Amino acid sequence: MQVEDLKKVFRTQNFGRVSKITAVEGVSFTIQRGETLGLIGESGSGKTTVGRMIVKLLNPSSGHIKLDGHDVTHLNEKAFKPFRKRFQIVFQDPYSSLNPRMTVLQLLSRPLSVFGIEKDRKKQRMKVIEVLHDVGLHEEHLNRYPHEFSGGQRQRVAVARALMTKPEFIVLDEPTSALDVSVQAQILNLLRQLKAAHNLTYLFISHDLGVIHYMCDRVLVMYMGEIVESAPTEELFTSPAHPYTRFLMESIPDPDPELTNEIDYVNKVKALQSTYGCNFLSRCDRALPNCFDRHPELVKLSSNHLVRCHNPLKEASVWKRDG
Amino acid sequence: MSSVSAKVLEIKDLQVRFDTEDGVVKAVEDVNLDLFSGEMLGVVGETGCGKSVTLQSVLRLLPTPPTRITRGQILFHGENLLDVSEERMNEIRGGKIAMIFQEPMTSLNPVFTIGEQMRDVIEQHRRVGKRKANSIAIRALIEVGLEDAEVVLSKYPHELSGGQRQRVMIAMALSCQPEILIADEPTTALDVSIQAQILAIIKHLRQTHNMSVLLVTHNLGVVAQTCDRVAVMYAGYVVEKGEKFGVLKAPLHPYTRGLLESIPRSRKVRELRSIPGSVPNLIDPPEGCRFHPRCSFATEVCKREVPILEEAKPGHFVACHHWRRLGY
Repeated sequence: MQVEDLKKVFRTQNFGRVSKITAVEGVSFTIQRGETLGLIGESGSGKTTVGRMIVKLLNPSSGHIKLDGHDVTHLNEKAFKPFRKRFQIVFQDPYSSLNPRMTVLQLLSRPLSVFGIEKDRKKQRMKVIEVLHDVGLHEEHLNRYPHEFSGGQRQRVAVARALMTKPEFIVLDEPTSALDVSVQAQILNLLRQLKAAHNLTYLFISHDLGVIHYMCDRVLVMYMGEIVESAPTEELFTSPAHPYTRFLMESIPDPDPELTNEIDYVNKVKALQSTYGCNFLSRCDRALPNCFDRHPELVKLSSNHLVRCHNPLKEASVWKRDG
Repeated sequence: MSSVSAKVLEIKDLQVRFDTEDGVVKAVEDVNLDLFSGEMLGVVGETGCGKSVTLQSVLRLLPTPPTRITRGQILFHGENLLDVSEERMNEIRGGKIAMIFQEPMTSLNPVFTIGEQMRDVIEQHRRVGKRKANSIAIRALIEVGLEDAEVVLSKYPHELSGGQRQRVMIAMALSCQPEILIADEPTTALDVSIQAQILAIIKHLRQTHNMSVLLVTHNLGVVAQTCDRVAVMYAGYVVEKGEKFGVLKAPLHPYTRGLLESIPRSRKVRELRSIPGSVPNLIDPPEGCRFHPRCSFATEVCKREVPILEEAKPGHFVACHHWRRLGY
């Protein structure tokens, strides 16, 4: 999959005043078959918008999305349908993404009917049971409604639904952030197993660096609608080049009380989108005169490490958790 | 934490029940917690472990019915808060013991400005006039890093960001000079960078005002980086408590250990250890140790008897029949 210069502008109306919000600003990347690409950023960075545009839940304002060389950006719903079943999405909140009035069997056999994969009720049921086993649920769960499950089990149902069409690619939009840690670990392990078993490709969206580190091969860091850094996971965590990436890493409270971070958080306060220079300027402690004048371009540090910064970091790791 | 400092709050044998249509929820069982002067105590646990219920009982914020506090005492400087009059409680609530919540948007009133709400609270508890209240509010806002305090005072809650709202809540709590600050998941709704700021502010204020802080969270990282002592709760019980270095570096309870191992840290780990199953239903909780259905060390005795919280090492308590076998 290839994404080129994707842009999304939302129009909002507030008491008749129309304003435009640029949620995603010229994002380009490729996803290789079989890889897990991580997309990390804070709320409002545009990461969810990117995920939704890729599965065409939102239409981009400009830019292109190509699948195996086919440009699908402007296909209408009917023409996109053959692609649709190869692309699935799992949402953050399994409480609102599953229809409360449908049983698990109904929820999971629905995609089979919609995409004309299997019309026969009995065979549908067989397929549903098979996928339920894959996600660690059982036949006895077939006739239950979503409210009868715990959060972790619901998310398993949501994953099962995504798997029904035998997709190649799944967007996982914060799939575990509504779950407790002990259950999160179960779901993350499940997603890793499924990926290996079904040869899947993931776009994994999260704000949790620990989760991203555990799950992903390559990571994109987003800040205010732009990609500010892109690198293989190991390299990103051992030598982050963008001050924002390092700032994120330092902000995570580590469960090991001996690993402490002493940075002056109180002064890193505002996130204002400046009309000039670098977006991160107001929070950056490395700003040079250059940073006030020119918006930085995404430049190559090495063949697979890109950064959008005039004064990238060169010193080694801040990620202490491998120890 | 020094041993000479005084106990400011003592929760003794607290037991809380909720009456619901489906039955009685056994939400909190025999919880004992002490908070010393100037100390920061973290209460951690997953959804439904009773951590918030315990702390909301301190300020009697839970509606009765359906809540029943069936046993126990909550002693604030020796005074049992479960017995005092509603009038006395109104003095303590917000005045001596302040609380901040997870979602600052719902704890601020959307139809009044920040200034109106802050002055209201300050006038009530500090018995001062409008002008004095205003200057106290401004000073408090500056202390939490909102430098354009006068502008903030004239704003409505929706005009502020999540981090700013939480800082307003902290400033409001602070403006009445409380002895204890109870923070119920204060950073859960916020981004990591904002979370780091808020925690830095709470830590800083605790030192400058010699406040005691009770912090409720599900995030072990937050506890590790901010608190002095930790209490781990599971299904209504305190299962382990002690100094954070002891509990987080050498946990004695299988649940604490499982929680720590569940946190994704590195890709080098082949498979993340997880705790099987999920949190039990507290209407019909498991007999004996409530953790036994999910515990890989459980034996017959765990199904029968509730383990008592015993002092395994000086200051380090654990409620497990088998901690001796599991200890590091």
